This record gives sequence, structure tokens and C-alpha cells, in this order.
Amino acid sequence: MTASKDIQQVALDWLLRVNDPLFDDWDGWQAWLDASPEHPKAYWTLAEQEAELVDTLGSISWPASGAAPTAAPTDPRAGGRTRAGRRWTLPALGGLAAALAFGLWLAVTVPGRHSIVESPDGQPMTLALADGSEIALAGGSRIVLDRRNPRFAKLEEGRALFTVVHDRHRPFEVRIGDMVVTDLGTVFDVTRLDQGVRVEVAEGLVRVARGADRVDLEPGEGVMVAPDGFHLRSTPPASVAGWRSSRLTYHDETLSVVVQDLARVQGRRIAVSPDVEDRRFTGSLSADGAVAQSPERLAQLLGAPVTVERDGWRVGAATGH
Amino acid sequence: MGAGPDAEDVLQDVWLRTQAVKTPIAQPRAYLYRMVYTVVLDRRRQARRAATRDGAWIRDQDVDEPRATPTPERSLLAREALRAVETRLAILGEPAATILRRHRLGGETQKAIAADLGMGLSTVEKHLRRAYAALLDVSEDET
Repeated sequence: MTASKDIQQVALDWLLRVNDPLFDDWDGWQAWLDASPEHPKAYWTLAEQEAELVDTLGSISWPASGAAPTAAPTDPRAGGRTRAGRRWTLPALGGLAAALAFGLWLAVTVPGRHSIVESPDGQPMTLALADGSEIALAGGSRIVLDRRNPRFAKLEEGRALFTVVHDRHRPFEVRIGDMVVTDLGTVFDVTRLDQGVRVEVAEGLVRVARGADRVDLEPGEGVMVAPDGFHLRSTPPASVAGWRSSRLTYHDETLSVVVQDLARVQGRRIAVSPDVEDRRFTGSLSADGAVAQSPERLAQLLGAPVTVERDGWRVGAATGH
Repeated sequence: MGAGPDAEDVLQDVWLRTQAVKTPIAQPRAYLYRMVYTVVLDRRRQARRAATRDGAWIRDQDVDEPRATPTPERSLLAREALRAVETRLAILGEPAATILRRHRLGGETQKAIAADLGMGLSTVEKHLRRAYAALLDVSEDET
């Protein structure tokens, strides 16, 4: 038996398994596809053929010799697979891996009209919305989307960068607790921190409101909405989306905030002791770079001791237990 | 795999489909994978069909008609394909044909079919393998 025949047999094995509604070994399947460029070729050729076959089977009048027919020839489930008349100009897809490379590790639960999307710690992901808008979710974040209103999102945890398609008549709205951020066409970042909610604008115009208080932000402007009020700040527009490439940039920021951002990108628990939490940091660090990955070098950069504890790191004095 | 825009389109489709879901999902992760898989497969098939159609159209440019409309020639080809499949199914025989139909058209799990027909799961799998060997361009494996 030749090697290509072998691959075809294994591809058929996978197809048989994948087609079963109970199939659950997507990781194994993906690993096999990735193992050789011949694998996806063999697999998808077979899968496409098989799908055509299933469509054809749906239009066959089955002989009475078999068991009681479970699918009539006009079964909409069988016929409904083909969407005649719709044309796609797309080239063939590289495969599921392409979609998964976008970090499709989301947990979607659907209670009523809302979808909850959660990203695991340290694993960012990108959501494409129906209107063309995009939400880049940092690791360890949770966002609620409304199926009936694609121009709405609720950030329940973590950090998200919104790239919103502007619609003058339907502004995009992000809720964070009792706060509302409305885009007036735009790229902006929203982060829930211990101190409050930080909003930073890279492009366009954003309105941030809590109750009767409101502020309009332009590119390069930001605000920290804390229990005691709005604290305006400035951020270079180019650095607003920096976290997506693990680059964090600060001007006169508290260590507490720096550490929260770093912990989110790294997917690591990092505590800050009271003795250093209000110290200021100005500079830029790469969350996945050698400095931020080493407690000693991070300590030098931040100017505060960094110790390794059982479930993560601590910046500042050890708590003594 | 260097298919950036396509991946985005897939996500878009997946998103639209999650929006269409009306009932609670028991296994969100498996559900999502299945959905992405279906979208990817659908798009591959559509792309292939479009390519075939465009190719045929370019070859005979004086035929000025909407490409999606089936010509008599095309429906004849479809009928022929159908007859070929019917013949192969008849040669394949039972219980493989019934298992294939219940599994792929009825959407029954291999486990459920095995239990219903009183056979082992591996036997059901073997019949499905035989069915595919008869109906697709694959060689029958004796392992």
C-alpha cells in the first residue's frame, strides 16, 4: 500500500468519526491535520465529496427493502444543505486551523437573547460582529452580546478593544456596570480595573457617561472612571491597541494598574502589595518579552521587588505568611 | 494557514449562526467546533462550485444566461449522478445502505444505530467504511 493511500485511509477514519454527532476529539483531529500538508488535502477532498454524496442521497427515493424510511426524499434537512444561487468569490479555505488561529476558544452560553463570550486566561481572541465591527478580547475577559442588537456589548470582566463600524443613526454602545461608552465611529479600548474603568481612544470620538456625568474623548485621550469621579488622562493613540501585540505603554501610571494589565496579558496571577501600589511607572514593556517573564528583571524595571508565590507573583513586600 | 480574510468570513458566519441559536447549548465547545467545521466545509464546497461554474462559463461564452440556472444538460448530469449512486447503493446492499442513510440523513449517532440493530459499534463503523469505499473515490481497506 502506498503512502498516499495510507493517508486517505486515515482521512476516512477521521471523517467517519467527525461525522458522528457525538464526536468530540477536535484537538486530535486538528493535530492530525497540522501534521502534514498532505493531510488537510486528503481530508477536505474526501469531506467535500462525502457532503455532495449526502446531498445526492437526500434526493434518492429509497427502496422499501430497507428499514422504515427515516428520511423522506423531500426531507428539508437533506435538501436544505444546498444553497443554490448564492455565489462566493472566495478562494478555497486553508482549513479550520485558519479560523482557530484567531483564538476561537470561547465559551458561548445562550440564556435567552444574550451570548456570553469568555476568553481563557492569557488567551486573547477576536470576535467579528454581524455589522462588520470587531472586538478584540484580552485573555481572562468576559463580554455579553445581544443577539437582537448587534450594536451593543456589555464588558463584565477584563479588557476589550473595539473597532466599530460607524453608523450615525445607531451608535455602538458598551456597558460596564453603570457606565456607558458610546462610540461616535472608532477604535477604543475598555478595561475593568480594581480602581474603576479605563477608556482610551485610538481613533474617532467616544462618549463616556455615568449617570449625568459625561465626557467626550478624542484620539490620544482617555479617562479612568473611578468611584470618586472621572480622571482624565492622555495616551498616545498608537499605544491603545498595543496590548494585542503584548506591548504595554504607560505615562505616570500606578504600579497597581500596570500589574493588572500585565497579569491579564500574561494570564498569570500577579498581586501588588500596598507598599508599592501607588508608585508611578513611566515606560513600555513587552508582556511576553524576556524582562516581563523574569521576576528579577521585572523587579528592576518596575523598581519594586517581585517574588514568586505559590499561585503567581507578588510585586512589593511579601505579606509574611 | 495564511487565510486571514477567509478566517474572518468564517468567524462572521459562525457569529451569525450563534445569533440564530434559540435553545440552550449543552456542550458549548463541541457545539462551536461543529459549527465552525460546518461553515468551513460549506464554504469550501461553495468555492469549488463557483470555480467549476465559472470555468464552464468561460469555456462557452456565447451562452449568455444566469449561471445559477440549471441547463437541461446540467440536470441531465445530475440525474446521471443520481442513477450512478443508486446503482452503487444497490450493489452495496444491506445493512450498509440503511446504516449510511440513518446516520447521514437521519442524523442518528453510530452508537444509537448500533444499539438499535443489535450490533457492535465497530461493526457499524465497518459498514460505513464499506459504504464510503463503494460511493466515494477511496479504496477499500482490509485492516
